[in-house]
Formats: sequence, structure tokens, C-alpha cells
Amino acid sequence: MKVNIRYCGQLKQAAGCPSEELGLEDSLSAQELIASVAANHGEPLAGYLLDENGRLRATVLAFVNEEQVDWETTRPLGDGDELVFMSAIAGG
Amino acid sequence: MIEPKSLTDEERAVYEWQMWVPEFGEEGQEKLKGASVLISRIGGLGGVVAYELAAAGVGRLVLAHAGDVKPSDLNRQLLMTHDGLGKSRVESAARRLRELNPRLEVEAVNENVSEDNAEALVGSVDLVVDCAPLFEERFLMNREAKSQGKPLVECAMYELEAQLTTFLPGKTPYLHELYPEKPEWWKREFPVFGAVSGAVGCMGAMEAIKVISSIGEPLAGELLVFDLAELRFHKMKLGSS
Repeated sequence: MKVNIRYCGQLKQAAGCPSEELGLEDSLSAQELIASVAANHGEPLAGYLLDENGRLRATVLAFVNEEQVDWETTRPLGDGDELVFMSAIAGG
Repeated sequence: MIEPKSLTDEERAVYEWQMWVPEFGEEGQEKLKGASVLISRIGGLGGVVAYELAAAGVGRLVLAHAGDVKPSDLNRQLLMTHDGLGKSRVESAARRLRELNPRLEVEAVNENVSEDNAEALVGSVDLVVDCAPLFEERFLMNREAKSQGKPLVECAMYELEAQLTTFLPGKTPYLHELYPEKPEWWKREFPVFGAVSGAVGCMGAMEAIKVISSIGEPLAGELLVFDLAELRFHKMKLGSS
């Protein structure tokens, strides 16, 4: 199955792309997918996404299909779902 | 609670075209005239918010922004001019706004929002529009708006992207509840085109007008995110599931 990942704010630069499509053999929860994205990209994106305990940073929001999801959610992602990472920005 | 103020014949003539908007009418205009709004700061984003609210006939604007106009302000801060280089930003802004709307009451505060003034600044208005470039200032305004039961329009941008939402007392979380801490990588200086900050500024002004005059549906519980690089607009539902 395929899942689309989109990066907003400063995460776009850290990821090196605005979005990417991932092919997955097994269905993953948002938490598992976030950890996988961080591991695959490495730094700097991993440090932007995850804190020292490997949890999603409080400065990043995650959305699945335009609905905010909690880091702890166990709901698996389905084929065609879109996961969006959004960093807090304050430009004025 | 905003106390509507009756209009003069001159005001009816100036605002005639927007009073044609269904559900707004003279009643909505009277609410705008009776309303006061804090805008901090008044750069690329806040300056456009202030300009649109002044044009629309909001009765009183409180502008908080420290410092003098610099050359690097002039690509986006539309209330500043070359003639104003080296002079106070808020004084330049207040002058431009009075030229646009001589009926407007403007309070120019030559300070940024801080722990010393946040409570009083938020307490002096009906609604806040947050346009600050630092999370410390944003968190202070949000903390005070929540504790004082004031609505707050949250506008932000970075590069070609922008985010907008409206926090309403008792109905939505405020910024410090959405993001409990500031990103350590955020810097006060950021890449910006005036057309991007101006775009979200216009939308933020419209959110303020909607909340004050009770028309339309404010962007409460949702975050509008747009990327002008690809002209993508998304409304994201806030609240973790």
C-alpha cells in the first residue's frame, strides 16, 4: 500500500522535499510511520520530528487526512492516506 | 461584549458597499465602530491586518511594535515608507492609518508585547490579532487572551507558507495549548515575501471582522494552511484523535 507524506513549515527544508510517497508492505500506525520516516531520513529531519525520548516533539503537529492525530493513536494508516507534519511557525 | 456605536452620515457613505454584504448591514458596521483590536506586531503581516481593519471601520486599534523603520522592513511592511527610515514604526503606521481613516482611534505603543505589558494590552481591547515574530510574544498574548476570555486571531507565515486559525474563549484551545513549547530552531529573522504575509494578513483581518460582527463562520477548531508555491490550501481539523 502507499501513503503520502507532506512536510509543512521548516520541516519541508529539513526533509529536502515538500512531499513523498512511501510504499509499505504492512499497515502501520501513525506513531510507527513517524518513527520510520525519522529513521529513514536521519538528521536533520529526525531531530526536528522527535525529541530525545523518541516521541513526536511538542512543536510539531501531525495530521492524517487533514485531521490532527495524537502521537499515541493506534489507528493504522490505510492505502492512499496522507500524513502531514506541521511545525509551528511565527513569521509576521 | 462589544457595544455597537451608531453611524454618522459620512460613515454610512464610506462603508455603504460593505454594508451591502448580506447579514452584515448597518448593524455589523456599528459593531465594528464599537470594537477595539490589539495588533502585535505591525510588520508585513500585522501592518496589512491594521490597514484592512482601519479601512473597514473598526473604531479603535492598539498597535504594539518597538523600534524604528529599517531598510529591510520595506519589502513587506506596507505601513512603513522610505521617508520613515530611522523613525518609530508605530508612529509611521499610525500616521498612514489616520490618512486612510481619519475617524480611527489609534493607540501607538512603542513596545513589543512582554510580561510587563501583555495583561494590560490585551485587557484594553475586545479582540487580539497575533502577528508577532517570536513565540515568547505569541504565548503571552494567547495566555492573556484565554485568561481574559478574549478571542484571538492567530496568523503566521514562513517562506511561501502561512497558517491561520481563530481561538475562541471556551470553545477552542489557544496557541500555548496547541504547541506547549516553542521550536528551538525558530529565529526572529525569516524568509518572507510581502505578498505572502499580506495574503494571510487580509485573511486574518477578515476573521477579526467576522468575529466582531457575527457573520460567517470563524476558523475555530480548524487551521488553514496554505502554500503559495503550489497554491495549495488545506483546512486541517484541530483536536487529537
